[in-house]
Amino acid sequence: MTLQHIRHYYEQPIVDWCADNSVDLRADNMVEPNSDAAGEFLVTRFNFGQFTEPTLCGAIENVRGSLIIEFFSPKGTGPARAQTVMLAIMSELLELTERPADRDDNGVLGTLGPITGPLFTALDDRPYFFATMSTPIVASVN
Amino acid sequence: MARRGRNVKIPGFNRYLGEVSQVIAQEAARNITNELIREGPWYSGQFARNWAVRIGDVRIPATVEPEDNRGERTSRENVVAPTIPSLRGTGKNKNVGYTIDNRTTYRRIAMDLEPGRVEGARTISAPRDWYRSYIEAGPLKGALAEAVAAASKNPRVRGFKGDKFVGPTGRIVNR
Repeated sequence: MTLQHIRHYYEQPIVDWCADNSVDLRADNMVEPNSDAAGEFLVTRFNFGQFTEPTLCGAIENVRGSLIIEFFSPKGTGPARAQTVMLAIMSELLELTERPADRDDNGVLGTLGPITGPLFTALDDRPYFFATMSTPIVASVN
Repeated sequence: MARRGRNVKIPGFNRYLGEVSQVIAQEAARNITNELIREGPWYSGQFARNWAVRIGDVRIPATVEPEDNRGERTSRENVVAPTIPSLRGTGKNKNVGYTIDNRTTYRRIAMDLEPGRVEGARTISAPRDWYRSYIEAGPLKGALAEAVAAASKNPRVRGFKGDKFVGPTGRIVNR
Protein backbone atom coordinates (compact mmCIF):
# COMPACT_ATOMS: atom_id res chain seq x y z
CA MET A 1 0.00 0.00 0.00
CA THR A 2 1.23 3.47 -0.73
CA LEU A 3 -0.40 6.65 0.41
CA GLN A 4 0.50 8.25 -2.91
CA HIS A 5 -1.74 5.79 -4.73
CA ILE A 6 -4.69 6.67 -2.51
CA ARG A 7 -4.05 10.38 -2.96
CA HIS A 8 -3.80 9.82 -6.70
CA TYR A 9 -7.18 8.05 -6.68
CA TYR A 10 -8.91 11.06 -5.16
CA GLU A 11 -6.83 13.92 -6.51
CA GLN A 12 -6.65 12.85 -10.15
CA PRO A 13 -10.24 13.95 -10.94
CA ILE A 14 -9.39 17.36 -9.49
CA VAL A 15 -6.11 17.56 -11.41
CA ASP A 16 -7.90 16.66 -14.64
CA TRP A 17 -10.66 19.20 -14.14
CA CYS A 18 -8.19 21.98 -13.38
CA ALA A 19 -6.14 21.10 -16.46
CA ASP A 20 -9.21 21.06 -18.69
CA ASN A 21 -10.38 24.41 -17.33
CA SER A 22 -7.04 26.22 -17.00
CA VAL A 23 -7.31 26.66 -13.25
CA ASP A 24 -4.03 26.84 -11.34
CA LEU A 25 -3.84 23.89 -8.92
CA ARG A 26 -1.63 23.82 -5.86
CA ALA A 27 -1.33 20.51 -4.10
CA ASP A 28 -0.31 20.27 -0.48
CA ASN A 29 3.17 21.43 0.49
CA MET A 30 4.05 22.98 -2.86
CA VAL A 31 5.72 26.33 -3.16
CA GLU A 32 3.16 28.97 -3.95
CA PRO A 33 4.07 31.21 -6.85
CA ASN A 34 3.83 34.94 -6.33
CA SER A 35 0.14 35.48 -6.66
CA ASP A 36 -2.02 38.53 -6.72
CA ALA A 37 -5.69 39.19 -6.43
CA ALA A 38 -6.11 39.08 -10.19
CA GLY A 39 -5.53 35.36 -10.20
CA GLU A 40 -7.50 32.39 -9.05
CA PHE A 41 -6.24 29.08 -7.83
CA LEU A 42 -7.36 25.87 -6.27
CA VAL A 43 -5.71 24.13 -3.32
CA THR A 44 -6.21 20.51 -2.36
CA ARG A 45 -4.99 18.76 0.76
CA PHE A 46 -5.30 15.21 1.95
CA ASN A 47 -5.06 14.14 5.58
CA PHE A 48 -4.95 10.50 6.56
CA GLY A 49 -6.58 9.30 9.75
CA GLN A 50 -7.27 5.85 11.10
CA PHE A 51 -5.99 2.99 8.96
CA THR A 52 -7.43 -0.18 10.44
CA GLU A 53 -10.54 -1.61 12.04
CA PRO A 54 -10.20 -4.15 14.83
CA THR A 55 -12.05 -7.42 14.39
CA LEU A 56 -12.06 -10.65 16.34
CA CYS A 57 -9.92 -12.13 13.58
CA GLY A 58 -7.38 -9.32 13.58
CA ALA A 59 -7.21 -5.83 12.21
CA ILE A 60 -8.41 -5.19 8.68
CA GLU A 61 -7.26 -2.37 6.47
CA ASN A 62 -9.77 0.42 6.15
CA VAL A 63 -7.99 3.64 5.34
CA ARG A 64 -9.80 6.79 6.36
CA GLY A 65 -8.94 10.37 5.68
CA SER A 66 -10.17 13.80 4.86
CA LEU A 67 -9.97 15.44 1.45
CA ILE A 68 -10.06 19.24 1.47
CA ILE A 69 -10.57 21.51 -1.51
CA GLU A 70 -10.12 25.29 -1.31
CA PHE A 71 -10.66 27.79 -4.10
CA PHE A 72 -9.36 31.35 -4.00
CA SER A 73 -10.77 33.88 -6.45
CA PRO A 74 -10.52 37.65 -6.64
CA LYS A 75 -12.62 39.50 -4.09
CA GLY A 76 -15.24 41.90 -5.27
CA THR A 77 -16.37 40.04 -8.36
CA GLY A 78 -19.29 38.13 -6.94
CA PRO A 79 -19.56 34.51 -5.89
CA ALA A 80 -20.58 32.96 -9.22
CA ARG A 81 -17.14 31.81 -10.33
CA ALA A 82 -16.39 30.17 -6.97
CA GLN A 83 -19.77 28.46 -6.96
CA THR A 84 -19.25 27.15 -10.48
CA VAL A 85 -15.79 25.78 -9.74
CA MET A 86 -16.78 24.12 -6.47
CA LEU A 87 -19.83 22.43 -7.97
CA ALA A 88 -17.79 21.21 -10.93
CA ILE A 89 -15.17 19.69 -8.62
CA MET A 90 -17.93 18.18 -6.49
CA SER A 91 -19.44 16.60 -9.57
CA GLU A 92 -16.07 15.05 -10.48
CA LEU A 93 -15.63 13.66 -6.98
CA LEU A 94 -19.12 12.20 -6.84
CA GLU A 95 -18.21 9.94 -9.74
CA LEU A 96 -15.96 8.13 -7.27
CA THR A 97 -19.06 7.06 -5.35
CA GLU A 98 -20.74 5.35 -8.30
CA ARG A 99 -21.03 1.61 -8.02
CA PRO A 100 -20.17 -0.95 -9.19
CA ALA A 101 -16.60 0.25 -9.52
CA ASP A 102 -13.32 -1.48 -10.26
CA ARG A 103 -10.05 -0.83 -8.52
CA ASP A 104 -7.81 1.57 -10.38
CA ASP A 105 -4.47 0.63 -11.92
CA ASN A 106 -2.82 0.95 -8.51
CA GLY A 107 -5.34 -1.36 -6.86
CA VAL A 108 -7.15 1.42 -5.01
CA LEU A 109 -10.89 1.42 -4.43
CA GLY A 110 -12.50 4.09 -2.34
CA THR A 111 -15.53 6.18 -1.74
CA LEU A 112 -16.53 9.46 -0.15
CA GLY A 113 -18.60 10.32 2.88
CA PRO A 114 -20.92 13.32 3.00
CA ILE A 115 -19.39 16.41 1.45
CA THR A 116 -19.41 19.41 3.77
CA GLY A 117 -19.75 22.67 1.91
CA PRO A 118 -19.04 24.43 -0.25
CA LEU A 119 -18.74 27.31 2.18
CA PHE A 120 -17.98 30.80 0.90
CA THR A 121 -16.24 33.64 2.72
CA ALA A 122 -14.69 36.95 1.68
CA LEU A 123 -11.41 36.96 3.57
CA ASP A 124 -10.84 39.97 5.81
CA ASP A 125 -7.13 40.45 5.39
CA ARG A 126 -6.47 38.99 1.97
CA PRO A 127 -7.78 39.98 -1.46
CA TYR A 128 -9.60 36.72 -2.02
CA PHE A 129 -13.07 35.29 -2.03
CA PHE A 130 -12.58 31.93 -0.39
CA ALA A 131 -14.54 28.73 -0.96
CA THR A 132 -13.94 25.41 0.74
CA MET A 133 -15.41 21.95 1.03
CA SER A 134 -14.23 18.70 2.53
CA THR A 135 -15.23 15.09 2.63
CA PRO A 136 -14.26 12.02 4.62
CA ILE A 137 -12.86 9.19 2.51
CA VAL A 138 -12.65 5.45 2.96
CA ALA A 139 -10.27 3.44 0.80
CA SER A 140 -8.41 0.18 0.52
CA VAL A 141 -5.47 -0.92 -1.61
CA ASN A 142 -4.95 -4.36 -3.04
CA MET B 1 -51.11 -17.27 17.61
CA ALA B 2 -50.64 -13.53 17.56
CA ARG B 3 -52.96 -11.69 15.24
CA ARG B 4 -51.36 -9.52 12.58
CA GLY B 5 -51.47 -5.85 13.31
CA ARG B 6 -51.84 -6.21 17.04
CA ASN B 7 -49.32 -4.06 18.90
CA VAL B 8 -47.19 -5.59 21.57
CA LYS B 9 -46.65 -3.06 24.30
CA ILE B 10 -43.72 -3.21 26.66
CA PRO B 11 -44.46 -0.73 29.42
CA GLY B 12 -41.70 1.82 29.90
CA PHE B 13 -39.65 0.67 26.91
CA ASN B 14 -39.79 3.97 25.02
CA ARG B 15 -38.85 5.85 28.14
CA TYR B 16 -35.95 3.47 28.67
CA LEU B 17 -34.71 4.01 25.10
CA GLY B 18 -34.97 7.74 25.58
CA GLU B 19 -32.91 7.50 28.74
CA VAL B 20 -30.24 5.44 26.96
CA SER B 21 -29.94 7.85 24.05
CA GLN B 22 -29.78 10.86 26.36
CA VAL B 23 -26.98 9.34 28.43
CA ILE B 24 -25.05 8.36 25.29
CA ALA B 25 -25.45 11.84 23.81
CA GLN B 26 -24.24 13.45 27.02
CA GLU B 27 -21.23 11.11 27.27
CA ALA B 28 -20.43 11.72 23.60
CA ALA B 29 -20.59 15.49 24.02
CA ARG B 30 -18.25 15.23 27.00
CA ASN B 31 -15.75 13.03 25.12
CA ILE B 32 -15.82 15.17 22.00
CA THR B 33 -15.37 18.43 23.88
CA ASN B 34 -12.44 17.06 25.86
CA GLU B 35 -10.79 15.81 22.68
CA LEU B 36 -11.35 19.09 20.84
CA ILE B 37 -9.69 20.92 23.74
CA ARG B 38 -6.78 18.50 23.64
CA GLU B 39 -6.35 18.38 19.85
CA GLY B 40 -6.90 22.05 19.10
CA PRO B 41 -4.37 24.85 18.89
CA TRP B 42 -3.00 26.55 21.98
CA TYR B 43 -1.49 29.99 22.15
CA SER B 44 -2.70 31.72 25.30
CA GLY B 45 -5.28 29.04 26.08
CA GLN B 46 -8.21 31.30 25.23
CA PHE B 47 -9.42 29.13 22.37
CA ALA B 48 -9.26 25.95 24.47
CA ARG B 49 -11.19 27.61 27.30
CA ASN B 50 -14.04 28.74 25.11
CA TRP B 51 -15.67 25.59 23.84
CA ALA B 52 -19.40 25.55 24.54
CA VAL B 53 -22.12 22.90 24.43
CA ARG B 54 -25.80 23.76 23.94
CA ILE B 55 -28.90 21.61 23.64
CA GLY B 56 -30.41 21.34 20.18
CA ASP B 57 -29.34 22.45 16.72
CA VAL B 58 -28.57 26.04 17.60
CA ARG B 59 -26.04 28.67 16.70
CA ILE B 60 -23.42 29.38 19.33
CA PRO B 61 -22.48 33.02 18.89
CA ALA B 62 -18.85 34.01 18.43
CA THR B 63 -18.52 36.82 20.93
CA VAL B 64 -15.15 36.35 22.61
CA GLU B 65 -12.63 38.74 21.12
CA PRO B 66 -8.91 37.88 21.03
CA GLU B 67 -7.04 38.73 24.19
CA ASP B 68 -4.66 41.64 24.06
CA ASN B 69 -1.62 39.50 24.81
CA ARG B 70 0.40 39.32 21.64
CA GLY B 71 3.60 37.41 22.21
CA GLU B 72 2.40 35.82 25.42
CA ARG B 73 2.44 32.20 24.40
CA THR B 74 1.81 29.90 27.34
CA SER B 75 2.43 26.20 27.70
CA ARG B 76 -0.51 23.87 27.35
CA GLU B 77 -2.28 23.08 30.60
CA ASN B 78 -5.45 21.39 31.76
CA VAL B 79 -8.63 23.24 30.98
CA VAL B 80 -11.94 22.84 32.75
CA ALA B 81 -14.32 21.39 30.18
CA PRO B 82 -17.60 23.19 29.60
CA THR B 83 -20.71 22.00 31.39
CA ILE B 84 -22.73 19.50 29.38
CA PRO B 85 -26.40 20.30 29.97
CA SER B 86 -28.67 17.35 30.66
CA LEU B 87 -31.18 16.37 28.00
CA ARG B 88 -33.68 15.36 30.65
CA GLY B 89 -36.92 17.20 30.20
CA THR B 90 -36.45 17.74 26.47
CA GLY B 91 -39.60 15.73 25.86
CA LYS B 92 -40.28 13.23 23.10
CA ASN B 93 -38.33 15.05 20.43
CA LYS B 94 -36.22 12.23 19.02
CA ASN B 95 -33.83 14.53 17.21
CA VAL B 96 -32.75 16.64 20.13
CA GLY B 97 -29.01 16.56 20.65
CA TYR B 98 -26.14 18.94 21.21
CA THR B 99 -24.35 21.66 19.32
CA ILE B 100 -20.66 22.01 20.12
CA ASP B 101 -18.75 25.06 18.99
CA ASN B 102 -16.20 27.58 20.11
CA ARG B 103 -17.14 31.08 21.24
CA THR B 104 -14.10 32.99 19.98
CA THR B 105 -14.47 35.37 17.06
CA TYR B 106 -11.51 33.74 15.31
CA ARG B 107 -12.81 30.18 15.70
CA ARG B 108 -13.03 29.34 11.97
CA ILE B 109 -9.40 30.34 11.47
CA ALA B 110 -8.35 28.36 14.55
CA MET B 111 -10.19 25.34 13.12
CA ASP B 112 -8.49 25.86 9.72
CA LEU B 113 -11.89 26.26 8.07
CA GLU B 114 -10.59 29.61 6.87
CA PRO B 115 -6.94 30.30 6.04
CA GLY B 116 -4.73 32.32 8.35
CA ARG B 117 -3.43 30.07 11.12
CA VAL B 118 -0.62 28.08 9.56
CA GLU B 119 0.55 30.17 6.59
CA GLY B 120 3.88 31.67 7.50
CA ALA B 121 3.69 30.52 11.11
CA ARG B 122 7.06 29.58 12.65
CA THR B 123 5.49 27.12 15.06
CA ILE B 124 2.02 25.67 15.24
CA SER B 125 0.49 23.99 18.27
CA ALA B 126 -1.93 21.78 16.34
CA PRO B 127 -1.45 20.14 12.96
CA ARG B 128 -3.00 21.81 9.95
CA ASP B 129 -6.62 20.71 9.43
CA TRP B 130 -6.72 19.22 12.92
CA TYR B 131 -10.47 19.87 13.21
CA ARG B 132 -11.42 18.32 9.89
CA SER B 133 -9.17 15.36 10.55
CA TYR B 134 -10.85 14.85 13.92
CA ILE B 135 -14.36 14.97 12.45
CA GLU B 136 -13.80 13.19 9.16
CA ALA B 137 -10.83 10.85 9.47
CA GLY B 138 -11.83 8.60 12.34
CA PRO B 139 -11.25 10.01 15.85
CA LEU B 140 -14.82 11.27 16.23
CA LYS B 141 -16.12 7.78 15.64
CA GLY B 142 -13.89 6.55 18.45
CA ALA B 143 -15.27 9.18 20.81
CA LEU B 144 -18.81 8.07 20.00
CA ALA B 145 -17.94 4.42 20.56
CA GLU B 146 -16.44 5.29 23.94
CA ALA B 147 -19.65 7.11 24.81
CA VAL B 148 -21.66 3.95 24.18
CA ALA B 149 -19.28 1.94 26.35
CA ALA B 150 -19.48 4.51 29.14
CA ALA B 151 -23.27 4.64 28.93
CA SER B 152 -23.46 0.89 29.40
CA LYS B 153 -21.83 1.37 32.80
CA ASN B 154 -24.07 4.24 33.81
CA PRO B 155 -26.59 3.34 36.54
CA ARG B 156 -29.25 5.38 34.75
CA VAL B 157 -29.25 2.82 31.94
CA ARG B 158 -28.52 -0.26 34.00
CA GLY B 159 -29.11 -3.37 31.95
CA PHE B 160 -28.06 -1.74 28.70
CA LYS B 161 -25.08 -3.57 27.20
CA GLY B 162 -23.96 -1.53 24.26
CA ASP B 163 -20.42 -2.32 23.19
CA LYS B 164 -20.29 -1.40 19.56
CA PHE B 165 -21.35 1.74 17.82
CA VAL B 166 -21.72 2.26 14.09
CA GLY B 167 -22.09 5.84 12.85
CA PRO B 168 -23.29 8.47 12.54
CA THR B 169 -20.63 10.14 10.44
CA GLY B 170 -19.56 13.53 11.67
CA ARG B 171 -20.52 16.64 9.78
CA ILE B 172 -18.72 19.91 9.99
CA VAL B 173 -21.08 22.75 10.58
CA ASN B 174 -20.01 26.23 9.68
CA ARG B 175 -22.46 28.90 10.61
